[in-house]
Amino acid sequence: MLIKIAQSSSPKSCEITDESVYLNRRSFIASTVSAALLAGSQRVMAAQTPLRQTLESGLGRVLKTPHGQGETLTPYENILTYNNFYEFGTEKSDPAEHAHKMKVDPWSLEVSGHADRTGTFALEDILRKVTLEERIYRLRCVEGWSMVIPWIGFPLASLIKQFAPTSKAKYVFFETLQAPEQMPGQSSLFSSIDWPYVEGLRMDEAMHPLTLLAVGLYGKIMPNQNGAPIRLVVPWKYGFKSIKSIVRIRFVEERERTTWEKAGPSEYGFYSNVNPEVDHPRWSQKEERRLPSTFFSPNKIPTQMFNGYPEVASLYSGMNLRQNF
Amino acid sequence: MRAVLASKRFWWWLVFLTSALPFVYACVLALTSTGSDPIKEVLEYLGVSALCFLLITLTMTPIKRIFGFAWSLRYRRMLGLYALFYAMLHALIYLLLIVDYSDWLKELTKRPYVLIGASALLILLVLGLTSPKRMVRKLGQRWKTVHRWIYPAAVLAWLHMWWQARGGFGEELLYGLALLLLLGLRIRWAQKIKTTKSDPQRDKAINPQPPC
Repeated sequence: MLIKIAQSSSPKSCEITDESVYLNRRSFIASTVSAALLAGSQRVMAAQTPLRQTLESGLGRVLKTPHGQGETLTPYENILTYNNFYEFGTEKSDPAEHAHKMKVDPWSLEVSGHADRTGTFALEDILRKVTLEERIYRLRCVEGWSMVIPWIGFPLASLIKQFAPTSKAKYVFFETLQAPEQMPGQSSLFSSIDWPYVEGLRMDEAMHPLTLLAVGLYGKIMPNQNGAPIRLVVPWKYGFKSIKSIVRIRFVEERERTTWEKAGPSEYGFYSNVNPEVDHPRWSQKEERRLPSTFFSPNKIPTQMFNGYPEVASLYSGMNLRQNF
Repeated sequence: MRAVLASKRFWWWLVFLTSALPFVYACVLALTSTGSDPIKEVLEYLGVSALCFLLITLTMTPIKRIFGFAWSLRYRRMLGLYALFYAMLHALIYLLLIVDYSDWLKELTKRPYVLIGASALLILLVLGLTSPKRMVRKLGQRWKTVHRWIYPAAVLAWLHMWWQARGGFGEELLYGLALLLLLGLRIRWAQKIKTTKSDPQRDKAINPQPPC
């Protein structure tokens, strides 16, 4: 038997270039270079996704509106660092710390229920059909603090019209993303909240011109901790009604229970209109601390009925707002 | 150095100054917080500090009984007074900076958790006022009975916290378990005394310290 002992200088078989490749070395080089170029250009395209492109071009031509002119804005920094977004934890600082884990691009909305056009829609396709506008709204949290925020968005009514809800659609319900691997608060053992977060509006509330879907604030794309990429803003209701990071929209005939109604039925009603006359069982709603406040100037101001948006009062004429809190 | 470590005064000051750190931190927070709502931050921080000091105070007797470290009882009163101190600051901020003074009575009567917190503070106040050595002597045997009220005070303080939980209850649960453990020890000791009551000589040997 002949045993060949390879000399250390002789190449291993795996190191020998295949003859066919050797003979076609010119085209090999050409194809390798073009593949590298293609990968590079794809990376450039990845930075500019369809959603980002649509958002940026929309933000470039935002319509100015008279809403909230003359109000003192809450600084951007405070809006970014003081959030209730329990999907990321119950501390006010948790969303700013963890929300970067949420994947907000690509994003789509799943529309279902009593409407002619249902299905899943890419967010950029929805945004291409609307005009973004800036509206400065007061935001009153049920906890007794408030902010003034320059939102960028479009009326919810203009979106709802895209789906053509039928006469059976009496309510519209929204759902937040449920993704525990991106949202640490959703896997917390000590949470008393039933995920995903659900909120809803009566159809006339949803169609009211003040009701906004926001995709940005302070002229910029919506930060994750504030409910990117798309959130509701209902300025005359307590903040928790303004659901964040919406993935589902349902048109329904019967009212469903919202997340906070399930968590505390005696404390959080379906309507949750800002009302200084009706206390939260655990605290008064007569006043609010307009943030940022400092230790030596609490910045307490009286809370206004419907958070100072009296034009919505007609939606509730004849209703007992103490019972329908 | 050895002399310093051996001196009671050194350890007293160490415990005294360490226990004052939450106060220093609360002041720093109040003066420099870049947060949006420093009042709420300081309020909650002081409340949690008060509860912590109540729990630490309740740990001193078990340390003596289980590990036999007699030093622990030397600091029990000071730690209890710190609990009172933080609870008072907490209540003061609530009354002066959170609620309007015209609503004080309304808040107290309408909100069970406020009433519960106020009751805990009232008990601590009585315990604080009866804590000087002179009062201990004056009250004699009754002092023990009065100071057993730290148990309901701690339960009320925890309940005051539990009642305000929103959305999550992890931290509240943690304090609850600690309190349960500390009170459970007392219940066990009380049962032991009962079962050995027939032997008064032994009873004396087991329970030489006032319970607290």
